[in-house]
Amino acid sequence: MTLGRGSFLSELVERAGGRNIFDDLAVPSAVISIEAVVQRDPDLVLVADAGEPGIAGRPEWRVVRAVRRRRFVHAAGSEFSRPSPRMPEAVRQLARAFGAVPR
Amino acid sequence: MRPTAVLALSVAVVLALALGLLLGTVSFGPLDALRALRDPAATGGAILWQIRLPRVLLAFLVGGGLGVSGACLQALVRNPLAEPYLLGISGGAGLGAVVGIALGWEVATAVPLAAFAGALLAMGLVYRLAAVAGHRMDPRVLLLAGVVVSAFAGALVSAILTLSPAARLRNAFLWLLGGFSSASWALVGIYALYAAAPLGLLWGASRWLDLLSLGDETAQSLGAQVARTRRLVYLTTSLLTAACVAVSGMIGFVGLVAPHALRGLIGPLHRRLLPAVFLGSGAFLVVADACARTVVRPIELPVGVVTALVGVPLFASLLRRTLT
Repeated sequence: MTLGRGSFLSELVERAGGRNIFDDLAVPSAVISIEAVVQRDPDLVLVADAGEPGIAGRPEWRVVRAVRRRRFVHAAGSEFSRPSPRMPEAVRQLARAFGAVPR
Repeated sequence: MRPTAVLALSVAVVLALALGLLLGTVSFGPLDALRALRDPAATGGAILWQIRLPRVLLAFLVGGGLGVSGACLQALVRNPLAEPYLLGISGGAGLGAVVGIALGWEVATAVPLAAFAGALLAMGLVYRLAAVAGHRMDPRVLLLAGVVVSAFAGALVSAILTLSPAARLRNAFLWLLGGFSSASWALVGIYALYAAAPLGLLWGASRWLDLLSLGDETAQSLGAQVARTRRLVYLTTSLLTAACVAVSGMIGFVGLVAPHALRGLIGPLHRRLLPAVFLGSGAFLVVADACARTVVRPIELPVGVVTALVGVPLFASLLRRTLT
């Protein structure tokens, strides 16, 4: 399950200077194939829970480079889940994570 | 079995598997695929080995399991419309699996057993409901009861999915319409663990299934222990369906398509029919899954949508034929 264009998180990511690899999906959220994630090869994976995500240990997900390298960004706090005055803080956190990506 | 039937079936299976392996979000030509398979560490090879192969294999095995369940249930109630989804067995198994996952049980061991318990419960409920129409089990009432139990189980599944905080359950579509988006070698192993025994048992019971499909009195007079055989077939088809549902959710109508197509081609004897149905249903579900993941890529449709699009018109035509 991923988030497409027009979703709240997708917008946060853009404002932080990143790009949602599925921003071409016209729907806010959809079930997509792992292959599509492999093909689009994200630098970072945004996960909605705190802690080690379940996909990190699954062999079929380890085909994704960012998962193999454990490039996870946790977007678990409530500042990521709904519009609020703390949005700038969420954008700052994301921008920090994006800045740390080795090129 | 006629050689032409064997040939047609093997061609269909090979084509389906090749199609399933080559088509996807990332499509391969046949030669590219062979080259990629030789290098499992590269991206293409990793996609084929870790994502595409287990998925195609799981779809094939689950399709085979659902098809065999369907063919056996059809012999049991002597009606070509019987099928684990329509008889509510899949619904019960789905409910059991979802309850198991919501309670945090182990996916490999406890969840298929929870699905089995759910399938048995649903089966019992369907029987009690259908018994209202008399002891002889009118197949039409049985199907009606199955659909009602299925709807009930679906409602409970929706309630659990809505209320449960478990992150694994968020993909409600998987359970309500089935899908192979989370296929992995581990799931193939879990399926094999639970499905091998019932598949073998049902094939071993071919002779009894032949007799049962002649009618209870005839079967009895030909030496079948009708009540015991019935119970055995119910238990084993429930376990087989539960194994399918536990790894892929509720996928409907798979048990109708191949048995219907193959009975005309191969004849009604189960010793030959069941293996053919296994292969045919497997091929059907592999193709259905290939459609589900390519039609609107990169988004995936639940595979149950595709099987319903094929299965419901077939159901309508079978219904017309059995009533006239």
